[in-house]
Amino acid sequence: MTAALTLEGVSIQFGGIRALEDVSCQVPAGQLRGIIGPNGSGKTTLLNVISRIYPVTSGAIRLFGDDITRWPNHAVARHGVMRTYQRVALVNQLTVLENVMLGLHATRRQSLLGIAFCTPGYRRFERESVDRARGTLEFVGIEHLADRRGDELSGGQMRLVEIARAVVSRPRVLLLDEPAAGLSLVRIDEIADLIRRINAELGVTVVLVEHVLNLVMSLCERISVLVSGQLLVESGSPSEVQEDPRVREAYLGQARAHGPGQGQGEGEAADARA
Amino acid sequence: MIMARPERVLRYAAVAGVAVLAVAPWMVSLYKVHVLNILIINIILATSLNLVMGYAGQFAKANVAFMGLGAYTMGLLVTRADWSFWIAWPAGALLAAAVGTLVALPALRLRGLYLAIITISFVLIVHWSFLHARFLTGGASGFSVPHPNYFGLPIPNIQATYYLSLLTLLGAMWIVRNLVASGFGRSLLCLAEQELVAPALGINVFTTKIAVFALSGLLAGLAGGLHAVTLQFIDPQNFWLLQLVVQLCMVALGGVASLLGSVLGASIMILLIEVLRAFKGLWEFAIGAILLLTIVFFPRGIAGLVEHLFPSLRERRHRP
Ligand SMILES: Nc1ncnc2c1ncn2[C@@H]1O[C@H](COP(=O)(O)OP(=O)(O)OP(=O)(O)O)[C@@H](O)[C@H]1O
Ligand SMILES: [Mg+2]
Repeated sequence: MTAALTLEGVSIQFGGIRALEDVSCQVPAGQLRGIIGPNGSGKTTLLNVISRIYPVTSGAIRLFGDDITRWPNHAVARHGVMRTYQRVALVNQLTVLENVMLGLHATRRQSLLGIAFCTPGYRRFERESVDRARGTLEFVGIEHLADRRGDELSGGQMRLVEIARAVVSRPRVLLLDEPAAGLSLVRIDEIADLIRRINAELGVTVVLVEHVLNLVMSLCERISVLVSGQLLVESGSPSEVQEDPRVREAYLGQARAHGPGQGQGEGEAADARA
Repeated sequence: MIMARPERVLRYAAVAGVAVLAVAPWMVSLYKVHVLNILIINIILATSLNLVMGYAGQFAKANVAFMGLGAYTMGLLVTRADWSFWIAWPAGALLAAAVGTLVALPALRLRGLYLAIITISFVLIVHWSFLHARFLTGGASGFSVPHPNYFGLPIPNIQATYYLSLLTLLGAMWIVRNLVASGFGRSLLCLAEQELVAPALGINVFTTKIAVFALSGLLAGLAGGLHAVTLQFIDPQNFWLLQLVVQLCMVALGGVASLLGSVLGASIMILLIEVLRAFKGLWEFAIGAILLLTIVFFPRGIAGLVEHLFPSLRERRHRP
């Protein structure tokens, strides 16, 4: 079986900081993969590298066998990689429905001439887009928010809209960056259920970066542990990861130091979470 | 009493506005027809600027240069090369659109103040060229352009040009409204608010920026040609920084990323300039004051205020 995602010796450097160092791993198609690690360990950077926001310094990234290492980033999205952000990134001038429709751009586009002159083909296209976006809002359970604007939502609602925007185009791979951050326990349960359904019902391969360890442990079949830009565990079951003394050490070390593991990039990591 | 739904009120107002504009040439003096024509042309210009600045959020200010290129190209082709206005006018607009795509190139790398500086420099260079290519443009004294050939249309030329502007405005508004209520319009707003997120949604930032600059250039070029035949004269002063500030004022006062805003902003500014014309030198002051007050009190302009009071009037970015 082909892997959905393959990283081969991926490294990236920001000035002097080696944010990722020789990261190699595989995510099989259909898997729900968790990625955990202390603050500043490079989890977000890993997602940015996969969605081609950052170019890698060295190494290769494959998506269902295609080498996407040098692709422009919109091409990666069009090839079926969608994502959410640690800091929610909705367009506030658009309604929830329109934000979700924005997510359809990856797979469904119309010619500008068709749009400009409002051809019948384009009308049908736009109607279908609205229907699909509404269907996704129902799937996520927020159809009642359709006409609200991005800035009229609570933090938890924003995260759901962002997930809806990411799955409306039925991506092949979904990258989630801390979808449970700042949510109450009830909401965390809801989001866990949603992620499970996206994986099982829509058949989307999910890469879940999350700090709420309970969520990762209960949801994910396999977990990778990233510490200081290196994969400590490439792929372990929840119980293996929980019992691994090196993982405990990495997290405990962080607790003792009250900061990111190895004291790296404390400032930025804190900013990113603010 | 039954309150009328605001959407419906707005629709009736729009229809009434168009009807008034359509019959106006038979009701008011020639001078007022001229003022209305200038108003119509400025609505097109404000829409053109709003596309790039409001919708796409690009701090580009090259609009008067596109307008000038449209006007000069049309005027020179008609007076020097004997082209028909009906070919020279779209040719000028296409040239402005092509130059618009060139201006989009720095916008791919630069943002904010830097993009503003680059595009304002572009306005200065274009203006300088109009001024100094005397053998072609007549320099500061400009040159006159004839009325377009209306093929024996049984109405005076001034009225005919007025209707040409009105038709252009209606066509432009229809097309722009279609575009902003589509995936293209949504991508523009995404560029404005979340430029880094856009490519991760599959939006090709390069082609989207090129397209919006080309469209903006096309509209400004068309407006420039109309402006020239309305004044029957072209000189560099019409494409100078002051006009740029007036257009920025229209967008800021009316409201960014809003078609209603472009219409209101342009109308109010042109009428205001007309009213204040009697008091020499006052209108520059008034413009400065309006820009300042709007930015302080209504950062989203009149349209923003209207949408705040009547949320159902928010511009739709999808159909139906
Ligand atoms: N654009 C950038 N420029 C410079 N350094 C960066 C950049 N992005 C990330 N880094 C650095 O890379 C390291 C990893 O950061 P990253 O945000 O990936 O961590 P993380 O695991 O997502 O942390 P958190 O749990 O706080 O979200 C940090 O030291 C950070 O300062
Ligand atoms: Mg992170």
